[in-house]
Amino acid sequence: MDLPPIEVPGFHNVSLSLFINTPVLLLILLVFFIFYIIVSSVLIYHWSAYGMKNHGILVGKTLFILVSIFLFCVSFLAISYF
Amino acid sequence: MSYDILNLDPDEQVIIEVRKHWIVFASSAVALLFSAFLPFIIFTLFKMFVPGMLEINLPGNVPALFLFFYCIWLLALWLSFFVNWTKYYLDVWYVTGKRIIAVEQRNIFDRGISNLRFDKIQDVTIDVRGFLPTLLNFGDIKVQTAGEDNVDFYMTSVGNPEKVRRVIFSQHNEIGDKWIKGPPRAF
Repeated sequence: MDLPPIEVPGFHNVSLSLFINTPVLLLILLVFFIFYIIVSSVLIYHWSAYGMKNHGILVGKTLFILVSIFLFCVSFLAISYF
Repeated sequence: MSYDILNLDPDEQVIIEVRKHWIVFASSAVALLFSAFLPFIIFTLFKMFVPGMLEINLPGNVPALFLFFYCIWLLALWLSFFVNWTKYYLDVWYVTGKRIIAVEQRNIFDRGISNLRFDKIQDVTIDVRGFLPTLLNFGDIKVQTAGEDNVDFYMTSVGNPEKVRRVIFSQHNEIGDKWIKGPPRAF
């Protein structure tokens, strides 16, 4: 018995507008931001409590905060341009 | 530097801080750096071998969408980098004039502190094995205790383990000499 050939839909037919839109992206950013804040708080607590006020810890903390702020700003701007 | 958290005695000084060799942290940092370029590598491979997979109708401004996800990816890597750095930097032995204070930072939610007085030390062994450890001078160090509870202190991939061993032995001998001259009075 000959079976009819299976037709797989091409990827170019897939539309993702239902799943990728500004509110969804904002929600992803918000969830990730909350997760990031929790882990960052734990890290900063460790650095403050056990870092022995070391110069390297202060440099690391500053670098971490500045780059994080920059990347969050860029991702927010990316959403606004989306 | 402020060692308040270690609760040192008034006449106690930190002689040496013992950490894992920088190569331990550097290898994870290189892996994260490679991961930062991973989306571009995957994209290039898809473009070369299965270009049909990339023909997806993405809504809106596609470069902005990619930038958004790439920033999230970089943030995750950045956080991971500092988690690794914290584990590396805060996992340390403080060798003082009286004891070894071992701070074990196993994970960001897993931390322990132990003390070992020099008079309890029975032996200090180091193990430098392999091409890279020999070349860069790092290895494992084990401090064995003489007590009944027999708790050993162990740290892997320590930078310059011979120097650490020498410092521990010299302090151990100094304490031993003080005991020979006159053991501390019991109160």
